[in-house]
Amino acid sequence: MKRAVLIASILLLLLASWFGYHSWHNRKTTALISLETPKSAEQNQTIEIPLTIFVPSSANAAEFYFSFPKDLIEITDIKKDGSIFQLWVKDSPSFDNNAGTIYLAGGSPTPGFSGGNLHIGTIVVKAKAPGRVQIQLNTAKSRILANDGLGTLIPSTYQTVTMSIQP
Amino acid sequence: MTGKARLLGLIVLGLTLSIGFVPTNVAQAISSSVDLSATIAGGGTTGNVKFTGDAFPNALVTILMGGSVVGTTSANGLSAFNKTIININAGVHTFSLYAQNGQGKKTVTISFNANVIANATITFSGILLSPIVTVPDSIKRPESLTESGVAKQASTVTTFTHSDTITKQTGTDGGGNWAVTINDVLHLGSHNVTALVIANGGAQSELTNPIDFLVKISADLNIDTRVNLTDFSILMFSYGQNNPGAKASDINDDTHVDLIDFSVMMFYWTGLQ
Repeated sequence: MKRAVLIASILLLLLASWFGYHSWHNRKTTALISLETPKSAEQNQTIEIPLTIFVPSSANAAEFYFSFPKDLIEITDIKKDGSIFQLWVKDSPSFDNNAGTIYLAGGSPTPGFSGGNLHIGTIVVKAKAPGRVQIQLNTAKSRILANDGLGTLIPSTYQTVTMSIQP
Repeated sequence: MTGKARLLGLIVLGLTLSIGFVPTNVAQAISSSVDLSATIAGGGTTGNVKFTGDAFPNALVTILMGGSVVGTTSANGLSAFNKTIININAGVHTFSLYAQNGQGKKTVTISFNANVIANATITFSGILLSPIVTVPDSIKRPESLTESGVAKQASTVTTFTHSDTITKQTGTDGGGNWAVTINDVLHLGSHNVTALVIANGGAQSELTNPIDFLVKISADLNIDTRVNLTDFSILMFSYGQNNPGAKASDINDDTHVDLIDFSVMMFYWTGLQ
């Protein structure tokens, strides 16, 4: 009986190590896209939401497609100050308050960019009406590409943040 | 029918039978342009074979029998050559013929069988050797491709560029030199070129062996050796399009002008010089 418990414990330990390693490994090889949204805001308040990324290896181009609830917020501006992008692609950055979409795309020449807290731009939002706001990333279209001469996709994750607009 | 005429008939019959052993492609290549004739001499056990035709000006023409060199000659300034191989044992022999230029580049080797008859001279005339083709090992998309070489002077060279099948035709100058330029934006990857020459009289050479070349990826869209804001402008002009009119904008040649092309451009960026 004791032996069975010992074997089970070892197996559990190995399994936990395996999951732990892969979780660490994924963090090291996956880019992270973040919108630094406040948890709450007041109606009619103007909020600046920085878009930042962490990139584990050298990248040189990225594009982001966001959607937002157009009845709760509206975009008034997208600021490029301090961006890691030296060049912006056609029609970027842009937003459409009727469609509820935001688009940012650009990049920088070799050596590109890597590391954490890389600033892309700042989305200026006006809170229109009370409610819970989620700015969603279109993960099918958004991408970060490696600085490898081939435009290889760097896997990325995005965690949706909820902002509550108070009356 | 005189004895001489009967013998000639046998020689021609022998030659006809021999050509039946020639590989199909060779037979096709020479059938329309090579003439055979025979001249009968006195007694003995050996015969001669004479080769006349055109290569390119000042070509070094090599003749092989059974794979061994049995003679060489130089074409004159008008591309013509004339060589007789003497004292060949009677019987069926395989002859091959090619020409090369000063850089050692060779035409296609053409082969045919001859049934050598004692005391006879068989003449293969009207031979037209293929062009020599030179292409670079690689070009960077969207550079143009120059195909050049030598062939019979004052004739017409046709090139076939694959896998984007493009046919070009040009004349050779007095020195046998020719060149064509492919300005089409070729797809990325491996391609090859073959060519043939057509003499003024209508005779056509065999097609050359394919010569491979590679089209490599490049973000230098205006081909000025720099990747800078001008190239970025060209890319942006077609950005978001599928199958753009400006094909060079589709840098990775996947039919879409998108962020991948932009990324490749950023990789090769040389700056705003």
